Amino acid sequence: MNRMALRAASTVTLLLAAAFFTPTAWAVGTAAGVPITNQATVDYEDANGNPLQSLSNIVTTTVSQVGGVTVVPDNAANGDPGDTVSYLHTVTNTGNGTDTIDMTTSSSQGWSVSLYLDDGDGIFEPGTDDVALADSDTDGTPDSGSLIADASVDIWVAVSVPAGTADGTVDTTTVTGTSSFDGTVTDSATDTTTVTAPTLSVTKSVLPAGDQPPGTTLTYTVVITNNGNADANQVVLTDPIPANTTYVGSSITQDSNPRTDIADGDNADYNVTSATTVTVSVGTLAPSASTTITFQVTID
Amino acid sequence: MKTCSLWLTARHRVAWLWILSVALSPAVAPGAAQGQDLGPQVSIAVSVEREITRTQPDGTQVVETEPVEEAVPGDVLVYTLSAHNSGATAAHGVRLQDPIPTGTALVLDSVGNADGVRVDASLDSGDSWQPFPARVRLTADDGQVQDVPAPPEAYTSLRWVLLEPLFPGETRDVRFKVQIR
Repeated sequence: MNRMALRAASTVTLLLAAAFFTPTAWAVGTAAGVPITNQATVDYEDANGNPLQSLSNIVTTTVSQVGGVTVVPDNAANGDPGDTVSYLHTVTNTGNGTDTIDMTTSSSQGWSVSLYLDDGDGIFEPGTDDVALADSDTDGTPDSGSLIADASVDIWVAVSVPAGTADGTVDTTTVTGTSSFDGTVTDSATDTTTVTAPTLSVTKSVLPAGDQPPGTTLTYTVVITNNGNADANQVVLTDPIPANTTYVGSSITQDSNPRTDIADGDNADYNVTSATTVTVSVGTLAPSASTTITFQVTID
Repeated sequence: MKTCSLWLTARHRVAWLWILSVALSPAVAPGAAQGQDLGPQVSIAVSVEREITRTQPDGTQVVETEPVEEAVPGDVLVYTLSAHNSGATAAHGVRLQDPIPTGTALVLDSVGNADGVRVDASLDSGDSWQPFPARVRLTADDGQVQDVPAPPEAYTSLRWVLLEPLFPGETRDVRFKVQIR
């Protein structure tokens, strides 16, 4: 019996201890307006051992509102020129009362940045599910909408990379949430966009080199390389043959594979797309990829 | 049967005397009602202040207290309990008891064992008491039992037990701090 009772007691202790050590869920603190009251008691006895008791006055301290904002996380992504790169943030009212959090953005490159309210699926679908962030309190700045203590919303920051931006350009867009209750309370997150653009280089060489007599066949070699950090799409080489030369029929090769001169499936032609010009539709060149095109002419 | 009847009579007599004494007591002891003449009369008062840290011109920081009506989460409140015996005789076994206010957590190092006082703590709203600082028993999955200091938020009440009587005219103050959650 004793052993059973002991076991029961230790179980109770364990439960109590677990209750004490469970992290308390008061991220925001005691709610604004809550009174903190205190009343003490004194117990005592007279000389004959009779118990007596008195109650104290009650003191009350009222909890005031404090603002609190978090904006998380920091993000980083690559973007192509002309693309819009979207970043998801969670904006939370960590104050102890209802607040509206004004949202502002600043792009280090001065790019256009738009704010959208996520519809809850975490997928960026501007204009369909996700609507532009509204200015719910009509103070001129888009905001989170009214958030009770500890509530949060998910917000998209859409960074537009201008067309023609150089490869490797880095933009840091800062997104800041500011408490409407207390404008000195802010938090920011950063979205770092690295521009990945294709950078093509073209080198052309001829063999044999140097002065040559008429009738000599010259082989031109054109190497196209993508030195950038993004795919180069729809790459087309056009190379008019030099004056005073005659194209050698069926002399086009790409990466050592022969190409026909007519407009057919082999992506190269001579004198079809453009007169007296070699045209090769290379297609897509991935970063660091290159292609080598050769053709021949005879000196007139 | 006769014995039994006598016993009942005696018992009734005692009860009657008791009722009589209750009925007479206001008239017999008018001084006690005013707390002047008879017995101990201990009152208790509570006051609250907010702790603030001021930075002096020379950069040093000084902790002071100020009156408070409104406070914010994180603020430290200082409660002072003041017990005073305005009666005619000593009060024995004086115990000042105060719940930790809801929405706050005890500041552990604000509770000191002053001379002539034993501080008890309760983690269950006064159902049970143990000497401050309280400990809680943890039982691990392997059954190993460990007593560890109770975290501040586990405290629900404090009790100051005066080891000496509180004599007429005497006042005893105790203090503790809480932090607003």
